[in-house]
Amino acid sequence: MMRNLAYSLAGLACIISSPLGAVGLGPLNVEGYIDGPRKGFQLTLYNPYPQSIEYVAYAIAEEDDTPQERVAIIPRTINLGARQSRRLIIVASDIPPQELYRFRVCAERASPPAGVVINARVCSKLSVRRLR
Amino acid sequence: MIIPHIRSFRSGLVAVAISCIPHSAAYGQTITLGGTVINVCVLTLSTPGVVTVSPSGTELSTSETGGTPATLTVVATGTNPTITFSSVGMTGPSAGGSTAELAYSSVGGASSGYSSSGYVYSVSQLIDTVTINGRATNASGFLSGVYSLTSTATCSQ
Repeated sequence: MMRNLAYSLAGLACIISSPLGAVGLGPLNVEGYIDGPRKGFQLTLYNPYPQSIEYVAYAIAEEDDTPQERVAIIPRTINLGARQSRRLIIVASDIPPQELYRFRVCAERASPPAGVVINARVCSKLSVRRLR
Repeated sequence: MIIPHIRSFRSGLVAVAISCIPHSAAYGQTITLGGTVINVCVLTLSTPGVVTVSPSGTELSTSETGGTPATLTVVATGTNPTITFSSVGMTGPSAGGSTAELAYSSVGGASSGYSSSGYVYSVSQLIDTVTINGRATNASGFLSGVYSLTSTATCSQ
């Protein structure tokens, strides 16, 4: 009996109560062509929460999470009201002639609550080719 | 009986009424409500996951009494997205020496047994709900404290 009680108490102590996580981003795929070293994109970030949430957007490589120093995101951190959307400006710079530059821009909660099991994020794939 | 001036007033009213009929009533107008659907993905962890300890004391699981799986709702527009789950992480007093695993299933076709590595799910429909079960095993048991099984779900194309 004491053993069952101990397990029950341990079970209560081990319960993971994970707060909710949500984010929306689009479009998921954008391509562009330029004849200069710089290219701008627009993405829309959406807050599905019924309350204001702070999000962070960041640029990473297409195949892994390597940060992309050539990409600027304005704004990088966004405090979005309940079920509101906000346009993000993405600028890729220093693109040499003939290069096809692919990267991803991802968005997620700036500070996921402790105990969260699944951290939700959405990533858009962006690519730009400099023609000359 | 209609008094003549009233009759003429009535016929004049009819004439005025006819002349006032909007042109569009005589010739059909096409009303267009336009819109563009772009590729967007919204991920929502709609149900928190809860793991509880097994009677043997060597497993934490969403399948034990009091445990519940997490559910992740995918709402996409435009094109079916891909959900990539990263490999499983674990925190807690006995996380070291433990093996953490997650399993995925959904009406739309997600199907993966327990694994500690990641899982890539090509969503077969625009709206889906993924059920995520979790478990952790440790032959030495689990010290009291708060434990988390963690993974990052990434929606992309």
